[in-house]
Amino acid sequence: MGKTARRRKIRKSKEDWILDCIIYLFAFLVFFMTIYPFYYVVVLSFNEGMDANMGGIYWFPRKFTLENYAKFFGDMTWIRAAMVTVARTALGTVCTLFFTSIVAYGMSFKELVGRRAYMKYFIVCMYFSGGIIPYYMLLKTLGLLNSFWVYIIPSMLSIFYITIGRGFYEGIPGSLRESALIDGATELQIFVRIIVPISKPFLATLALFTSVGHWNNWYDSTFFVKDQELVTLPYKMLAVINTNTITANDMNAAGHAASTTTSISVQLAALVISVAPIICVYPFLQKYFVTGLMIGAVKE
Amino acid sequence: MKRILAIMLAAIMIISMTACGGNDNSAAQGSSEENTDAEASVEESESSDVETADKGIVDMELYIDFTWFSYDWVGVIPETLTENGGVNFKVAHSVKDEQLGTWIASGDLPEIIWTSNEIDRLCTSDLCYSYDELIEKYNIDWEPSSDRVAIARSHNVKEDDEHFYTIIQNYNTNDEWHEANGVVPQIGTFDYRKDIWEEIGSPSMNTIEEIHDVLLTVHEKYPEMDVINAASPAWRFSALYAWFGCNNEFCYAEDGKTVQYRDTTPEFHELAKFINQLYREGLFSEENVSITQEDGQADAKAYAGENFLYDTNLRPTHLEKHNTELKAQCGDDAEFACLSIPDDAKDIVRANSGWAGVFITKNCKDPEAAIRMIAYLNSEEGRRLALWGREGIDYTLNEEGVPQFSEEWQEARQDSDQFHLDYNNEFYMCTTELDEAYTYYAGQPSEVLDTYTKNSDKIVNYPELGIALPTSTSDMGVIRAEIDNARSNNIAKLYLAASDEEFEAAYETYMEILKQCGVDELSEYMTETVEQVKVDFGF
Amino acid sequence: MKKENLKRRIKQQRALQVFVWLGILYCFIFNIIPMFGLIIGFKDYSITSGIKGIFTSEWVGLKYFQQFIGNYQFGKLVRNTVVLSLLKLVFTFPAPILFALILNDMKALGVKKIVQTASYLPHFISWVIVSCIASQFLSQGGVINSFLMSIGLVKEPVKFLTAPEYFWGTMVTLDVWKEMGWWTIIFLAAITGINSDYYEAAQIDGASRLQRTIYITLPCIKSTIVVVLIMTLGNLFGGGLSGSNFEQSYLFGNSVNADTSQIIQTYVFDVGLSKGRYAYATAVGLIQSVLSVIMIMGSNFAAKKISGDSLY
Repeated sequence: MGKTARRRKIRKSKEDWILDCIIYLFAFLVFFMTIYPFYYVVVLSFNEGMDANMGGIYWFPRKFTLENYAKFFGDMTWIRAAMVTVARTALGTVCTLFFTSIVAYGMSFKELVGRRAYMKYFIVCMYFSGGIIPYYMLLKTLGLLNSFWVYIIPSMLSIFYITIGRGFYEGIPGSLRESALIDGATELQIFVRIIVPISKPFLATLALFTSVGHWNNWYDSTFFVKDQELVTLPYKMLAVINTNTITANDMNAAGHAASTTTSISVQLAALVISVAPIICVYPFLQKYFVTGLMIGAVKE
Repeated sequence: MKRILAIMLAAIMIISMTACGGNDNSAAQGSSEENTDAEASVEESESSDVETADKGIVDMELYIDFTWFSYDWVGVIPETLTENGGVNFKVAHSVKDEQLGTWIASGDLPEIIWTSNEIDRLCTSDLCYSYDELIEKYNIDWEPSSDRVAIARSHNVKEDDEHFYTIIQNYNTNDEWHEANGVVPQIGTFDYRKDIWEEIGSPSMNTIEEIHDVLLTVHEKYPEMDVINAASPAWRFSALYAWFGCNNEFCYAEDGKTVQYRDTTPEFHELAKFINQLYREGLFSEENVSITQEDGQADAKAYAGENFLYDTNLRPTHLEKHNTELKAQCGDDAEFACLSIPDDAKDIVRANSGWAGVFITKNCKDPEAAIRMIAYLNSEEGRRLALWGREGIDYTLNEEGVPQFSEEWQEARQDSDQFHLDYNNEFYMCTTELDEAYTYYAGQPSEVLDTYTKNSDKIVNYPELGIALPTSTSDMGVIRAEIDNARSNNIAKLYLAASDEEFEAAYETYMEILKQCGVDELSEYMTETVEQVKVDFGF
Repeated sequence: MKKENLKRRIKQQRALQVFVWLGILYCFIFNIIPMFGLIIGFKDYSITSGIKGIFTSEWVGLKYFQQFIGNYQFGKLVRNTVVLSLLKLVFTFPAPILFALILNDMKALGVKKIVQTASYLPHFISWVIVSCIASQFLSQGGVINSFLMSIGLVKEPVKFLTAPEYFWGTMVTLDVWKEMGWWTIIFLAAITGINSDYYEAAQIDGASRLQRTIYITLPCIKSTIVVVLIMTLGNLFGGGLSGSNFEQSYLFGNSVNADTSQIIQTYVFDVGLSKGRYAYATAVGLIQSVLSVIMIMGSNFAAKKISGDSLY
């Protein structure tokens, strides 16, 4: 630290000044461009709907109102959807974490018989899919349709994170496992007691990704669930956004729907509600995913 | 940090445990019950239909395949319908157009479906109960008229299928329209700003050219103004289409026999050129044409007083609503009025053969209750109740058979949110276009009515042009979809061409693409089928 | 002898084999079984004939493939898919490297941290929501246009969301906005790992900051750049690192910009689920899948050549 300080004192040339200016200006621009859109959405969501449509609002609400939010917090179906979403995020994350990491751990063992073939198999599974209808039939056969488990089970294994996790576990010295084996521990015990505690960065990265994925997922709720008691927050959000979508060639529909437009402010309130938890949580997990992500991409 | 993580993990565990415990039962039960139950009860109802005769109200899923429909089965009208029809609907709304498509493909459907997009795929015994079999089996006192049955049949997946699986709503025969009083079938018209028009000296607007002149004058006087607001994707310029003789997707050629696709007619060329001229004169903005969703922004502009002409005015109730919004923002002097059909408009061809339909799927646990309910909804009493409320309380019929609404009703309608909680006449699942028209036209002052009915005798209806349309699953249906797609990809280029040459070039390209898509085959097919339909229906 | 050895090895790693086989079994159920559905791309399959229809319907060979290639939109769809992908490769990929270099040169650590934390927020937001925000910002009456007009940079509002000629630019910019911060993490981590002796030596030789960046930092993180580049190439037609092609075109496409916004994936979605031509859509989708696999294998091969280590 002392070194850098001294260096800075000695050589703060003209070039340094210009460079610093550019750098800070650029950084500020990035910061502003990232934050402002979110700020703007929040401002509009607190503004009266009709008034917001007219534009010209930039920094503060012009006609402040809480009405846009009242619509959501007064509605039990929204509360219920939020609960379902929290539950699926929590449970889904834990399941994915356990399953993916244990498979990745198995794959990391260099002398594993058939390792290369397994990996090829996983890659094929990652990039090829049979499309939504056969997949739907499969879920139906498994009895997962219209059940809470459709949120959890089909996403329990993340192949991409197997490849990353494998790389991470390879870095753990094999002696740890061997000495535990000699002490008579089973592989599962080794995994839970020794490996899990030292693989926090990887697990945190995986947890963050999985939970954000769960939180944002509208797809499964839309296509695989009919029961209105089981729908999720993104689904409800999509429904609000889409109350204004009318198949462009259905003139009758457009005629009927003309009386039922939802104002943009209400949509934005829904948006704020669904984004807020992510904004609140991710800065605290930062340290972990920074290390975690590094493992995946920075190979020595 | 370690501790925080530990606490968080613990918290997650606890939450997930409880969530797990809580949802475990309900979810698992729900799914297993649903599946086995549905199958079992279908079989059951096949065999034992005697005991169901006198059971009370039945709960039933109703899936509404419209993303824009946001009402629940609440309010006095749905309640009364349940009481009289015996079914209490649990409503689920579509959030994506593709949702029902997926369910159809996998055969896993809700009990009752109300749709317009997927009619062609649901009209099959693989997925749905046919109305006629249920009517016969349960001895229902309902015999839909033969043309309505024939229309429903024209949607069948298998051509030789003699059954019908729905009754398409929003249809009326020409005779029924002739007998009607003071109502106009749904066609596109414009609102215009009456106050501004008066300001420029109330010039006459009886021909298309006069209207055009007025638009130019307004543009000159108010250069800031976006004169035309044609932002509704479904109804964009529909009034102009109507006036230029391009109202319907298909129309007869001069011989009165050959059927042509609208965009291949000379009328369309003229119309597109006219719209392009409007654009080049700066009367509407490019953004108008690019809007693919009704998101309220375009409406907001009209309400904020930024436009002179405004589309999606289909009926007096729309005008009423537009005026309420406009006055709220621009003061009481501002006013919209309906732009009447000009004297030199061509014949306005409609081909209304209905719009949406209700289906009883094979997953329905109680098809008897379902068909009883649907029969009730289709009865005159049910249709009126659904749209007009309770007779004697909410409306009375005058000597001409036109409903007169009560004062409470009229007053309640001012606040549309509250109206939908208290009354809720949005379940027009089985009503006709005329029934609906009365709700919109009844009680309107005569000077407003006159603007809507002026020249409305130019409207002609050829239902055969609608009935003959190919089902979406057939080869011709695929061609039609391709053409539709080509249209939406190319039409804007015609509207927005920068010069005459560019316009003609875009037009040529568009015609070329239509040919490639198979427009000639489709027109030929339509010509033949229309012939057949006319024979079958006796039109 | 060798067999004996293999048996013993398997026995030794029994538990680990079980772990992996659990994963394999799971993938078989959820990934391999649905792949049988792909055969309908070669069959006269009707969407109403259900699961049985997959096997019972008639073979039609390559009919749908020919139909697609003969379709008037074919050329346009391929062009749009390729151009959009290449543009993202050229712009979205280098942006995080540049940003990492800039962040690295910032001395105020607090500021650096705040900027960085903010920069990866958009990564966690779904495209549905981004499209919602973008339509507020980029429309003709939106914030950006009001700003540009108020400082006199443009006279007429710019049609970011509607004009076909702006579509690609807008999409690439949004992609950079959403993903730049996130991928910066990797490069920044690599930069942090560089031995500080190099810098000190350069310092003594009188190298300027810019020179140090160009001659030390960049070469030192070369291997990381290559790895990320290969990952990007692997998913080139999906939209590179963020895989955003489909969602962008689906959410931002409209009838006016259709000439540049429609790509193969949105076309598949449209004809398949909205129009119900499921067999045809499957065939078209298969073409795209095969292309992607070729890209993945190609880039993996390249990775082996360059860094001597394959990604998978």
